[in-house]
Amino acid sequence: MSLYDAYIGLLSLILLTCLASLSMQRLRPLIKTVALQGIAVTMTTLLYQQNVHFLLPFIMIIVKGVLIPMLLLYTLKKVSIKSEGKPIVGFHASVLLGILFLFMVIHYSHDKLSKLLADQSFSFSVAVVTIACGLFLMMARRKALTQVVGYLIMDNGIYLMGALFLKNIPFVLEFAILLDLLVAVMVMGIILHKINETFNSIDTTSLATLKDRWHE
Amino acid sequence: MKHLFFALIMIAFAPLLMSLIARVKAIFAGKVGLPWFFYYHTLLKLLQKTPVISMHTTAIFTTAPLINLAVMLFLFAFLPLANYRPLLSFYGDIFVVIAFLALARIFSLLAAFDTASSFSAMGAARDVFYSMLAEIVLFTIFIIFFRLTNDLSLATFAIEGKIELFARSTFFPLLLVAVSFFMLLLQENARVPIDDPNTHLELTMIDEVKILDYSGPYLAFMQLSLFLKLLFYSCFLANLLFSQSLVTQLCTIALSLDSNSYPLLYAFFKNLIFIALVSAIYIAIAVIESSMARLALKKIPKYSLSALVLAVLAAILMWRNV
Amino acid sequence: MMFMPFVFATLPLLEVLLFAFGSLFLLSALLFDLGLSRHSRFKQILIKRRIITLYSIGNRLNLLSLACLLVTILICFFALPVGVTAGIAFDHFSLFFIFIVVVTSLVSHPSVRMPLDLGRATLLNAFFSALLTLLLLLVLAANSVLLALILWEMATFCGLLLLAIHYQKKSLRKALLAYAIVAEMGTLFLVVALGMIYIYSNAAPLTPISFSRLATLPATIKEVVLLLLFFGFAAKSDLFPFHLWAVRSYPAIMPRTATLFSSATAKVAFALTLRFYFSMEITQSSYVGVIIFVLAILSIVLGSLYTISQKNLHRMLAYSTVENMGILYLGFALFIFASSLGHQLLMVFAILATFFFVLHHALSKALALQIAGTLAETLKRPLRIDELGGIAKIFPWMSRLMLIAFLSLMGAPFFSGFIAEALLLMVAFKSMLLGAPYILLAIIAIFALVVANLASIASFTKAYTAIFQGVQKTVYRSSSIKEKLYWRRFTLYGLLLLLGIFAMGIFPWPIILELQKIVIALYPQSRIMLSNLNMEIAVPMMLFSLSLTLFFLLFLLLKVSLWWLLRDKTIRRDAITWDCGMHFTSEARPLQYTGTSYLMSMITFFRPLLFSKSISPRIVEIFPDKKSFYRLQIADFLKQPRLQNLSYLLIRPLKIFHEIPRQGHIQWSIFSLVLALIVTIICFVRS
Repeated sequence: MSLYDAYIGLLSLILLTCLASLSMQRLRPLIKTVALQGIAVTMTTLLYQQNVHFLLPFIMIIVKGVLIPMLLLYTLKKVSIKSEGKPIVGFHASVLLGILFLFMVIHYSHDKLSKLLADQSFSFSVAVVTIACGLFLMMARRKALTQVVGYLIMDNGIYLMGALFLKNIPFVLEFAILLDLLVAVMVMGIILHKINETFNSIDTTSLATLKDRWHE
Repeated sequence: MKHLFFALIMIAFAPLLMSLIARVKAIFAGKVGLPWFFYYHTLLKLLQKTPVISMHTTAIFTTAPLINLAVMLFLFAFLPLANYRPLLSFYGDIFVVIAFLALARIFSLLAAFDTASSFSAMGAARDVFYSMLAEIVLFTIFIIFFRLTNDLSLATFAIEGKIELFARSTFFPLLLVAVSFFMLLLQENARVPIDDPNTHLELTMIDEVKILDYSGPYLAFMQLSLFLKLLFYSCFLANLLFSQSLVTQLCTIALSLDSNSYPLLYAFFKNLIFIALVSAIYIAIAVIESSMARLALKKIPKYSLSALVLAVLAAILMWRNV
Repeated sequence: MMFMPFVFATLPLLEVLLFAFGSLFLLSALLFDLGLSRHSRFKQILIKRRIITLYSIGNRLNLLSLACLLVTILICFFALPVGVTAGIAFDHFSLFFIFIVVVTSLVSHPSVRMPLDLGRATLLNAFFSALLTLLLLLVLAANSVLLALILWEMATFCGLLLLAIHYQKKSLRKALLAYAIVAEMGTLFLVVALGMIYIYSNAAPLTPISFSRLATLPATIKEVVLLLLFFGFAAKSDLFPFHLWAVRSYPAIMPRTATLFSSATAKVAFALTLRFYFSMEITQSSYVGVIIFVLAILSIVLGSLYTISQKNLHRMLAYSTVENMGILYLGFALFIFASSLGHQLLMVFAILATFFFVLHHALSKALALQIAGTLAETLKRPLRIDELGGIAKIFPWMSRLMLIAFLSLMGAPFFSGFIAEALLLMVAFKSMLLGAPYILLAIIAIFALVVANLASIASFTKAYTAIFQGVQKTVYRSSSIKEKLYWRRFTLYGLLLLLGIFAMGIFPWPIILELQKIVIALYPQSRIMLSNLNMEIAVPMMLFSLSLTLFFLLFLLLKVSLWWLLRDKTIRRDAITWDCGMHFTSEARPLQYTGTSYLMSMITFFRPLLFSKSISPRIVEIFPDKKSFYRLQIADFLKQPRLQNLSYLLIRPLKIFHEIPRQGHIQWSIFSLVLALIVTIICFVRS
């Protein structure tokens, strides 16, 4: 079992978590899945980098695998609904669309982009699919927490793609991304709490019923 | 000839393997369990009884058990066992196998409606949908095998050594294919997590309920065909896991046997390893049955989709550089 | 030996003339009937007698000529040396399709007994069906492009008149409108193609151009002409966007017309497409193949989905025809892909598999439609699946024949359907070896074929179980229904169909060898490739027939052992299935599964692709209304009222960008962002 095998194994794990997140209805397993994905992405980029500081990946694993999921689970505890009721695009259809998109991306990246990517077309495809999966979750689900999870998945994908093209990501850049992510999730958690207070649910479609206030 | 002999032995073992499942489940439950030859006694007893047939039925009701059993016995002529070349093997015989399985399923669906009982029809309604999902996964696996071997015959899949589980480059994808096929096996044979073969409650049955109205020899034939169907799928999976090179290594290293010097003993140990593999699959089925509950019916499409995703992932991993 | 083509050409011609003569008798009967009201009561009776005599003479002449034609065609087919054209384009290709048309019209011919009374509708139907058959036969034998297209247009118009016979039924009027639009649209395409042929081959207008001159057209023009011709013929061929008229009309027309439309006209349209394609000798790759592929896949997928969700047996058979024509064109598209890469073996395999499927579908669908039509006429009610039941007890032979037809359409072994679908699947699997862009298309083709097979299993088991098995769900109107199966008409020609279905299923190899003559007739360079193909698939086919004997022996063995086990036992056959004490004989609805609930989980799974409307029972005070039930209506994709309103089609896209949707602001804004991103990426990649 060489390092290359572990690398391919991690990439397929990321792919599996993407497709699994598209089909999940309950929110707790979804958060745990994205935690797993975060850890897998960090370990993949660990295998990419030339100079390995173990400090930064360690911090990233703590943040992505423990802190952010804890924040989200805490928010989930406060919120009334624990699963996605009736999404805009159904669960089976999402998975099938995901598989179709996966095929198209692999075909395209192998055919047309082979000069650009050399032998890294598979990791490129996985990164693109992760980004697309995150965006899809944001577009096709109603609950706000799923949209936060989609944002996290998209961020994982962007990080993966960045690690693919830049062999040495500067320390400051990584740290900045991480901080950005943490703050974003905290803010989203607070907003979720407020939405739940007002509506007693976290269905984003009910935001449309808010009325403008002209005077006062 | 060797294949025919071995196939008959396997067919005779089928009820014994079913009681293996029952005994392993009993271990988990802390009980002694069924006697080893329980299912043989059951079949013999059923064969001696007089059947009762509803007046609403047509000839389909009495023909379906015969067709099911004939199909299951017939399919063993196509299945390679322990690297023996099967009796009938030609280009395109996987389509014959799938078509005969479909014929058996069509007749059991038609027979379920024949008695005008809504109970069996409920099982048929569930079965027609879930088997549709399972077929799609099966064809994905066949596409993978075709691209590996460029041939459409069950014998080539198992024997020629092109689908080798323990080869370096294809280990992980073929492992995924094996897991996907195992999920398919559980779905097609109505084991947990799809259906619990031991309960006879209305909410939970899919396969058992289609044969609810059968009695006497008809029921014996249907039950035997269900046993043989599970054996067929398990032997297919065992073929995938069975590796000629592994067997040779095991025999030479562990027992210092050689295929040239002791051919009969070598063949005996090869067959023994195959039977051990099949029993391992049955034990795995029993372990899953003891540790999981049945899935809610509306989650079964997701189960099939997971099997499909695993097969697709295997295909991608195998040909990501193509 | 020079004598032979002469004989081969004139004998069928004589029989066709006899057929035309018989049609003249039918025409005169019709004309007499039209002028009936002018005479006095007494004279009307005499004239009616005359009409009946003319009608039966015409029918008998037609039947005789068709039977003779069948025998002559078979002799010609086997005796004609391969690759030789005799007389007016009588090569193996046209002989094959003429055979299909003749068998279809033989099977759907009405009884030759002297009827006691004849309605106007029967006379109209008789004459126009005969005319349609005649025109189809002549179209297949035509040698020049102009003649073929003129005769095809006349056949289309004849079909229109056939549909218009039952104009009093409202559903048929809608079908008529759809047919008129679609058929005339097809004619438009054909006329434009014809014009282009004439211009680019520098021929004087209205002079006959033989098919072989089509090869001299410039290459790009060939592709455009082929595309136009394909759309023109696909309009009559039940492919996806053009299928609506067939689906609407099948429940309302007589069984004979439905059989003629499905088995004869659609196949002749396909034949003409093939003939034009092969005359043009297109050598390079073209986009026409991809267009045919896309339409074929759409037909298959949507046809399967709608077959599952139909409640009327005729409509289900119509959608099944859509699905099977999609499979035909898929085989043709795979052939085009193989030919664009020059892969000779796959080319001949694909076209051979397509011809086998044509024969299979023509025979099986004719049998199914005929029996369905006879059932509808006997029961005198539309065949709504959820309202029938228990027909197997009343009409045992009809249900057995229907079971055979359904098993063949489902692809069960021992019947022709299995070999036809297995051959096409083999072709699709082999197409995966074609190389980069075709692998994905081949995988899509494999999944489409598999889904079509599974959907047909689901829908035909639903139809058979709900109509023929179980206990009656409604009381049939006449209390003493006898099985009027028109034995004299049906047995002889129905046996022909059964023979065909079983022969193709059990001994496919001789039939495949004969079909190879057609391929050589179309494409003379394929002889070597065919012998290569024979080496590859001869042994599998023969081993398959051998394995069928093994299965049959096993089955016999089990039957004998069952007999031995039950030899001294008396089996109780009068037990009543447990029905919760409600007794099936009472007026209360028996507790059986309806066809709709049988496939409910499947329909729910595919809901997004089906336009369904579920109607729940109304609530009156606190209880549901006794008269309203839960209904699930699945409408065809093209039947959306919004799609039919052209202005709605144009304005709707604009409205989307103008209003923000009422729910889901966040998702909508993300979607627009992603769309902008994708457009930017595409522009970036292109530049």
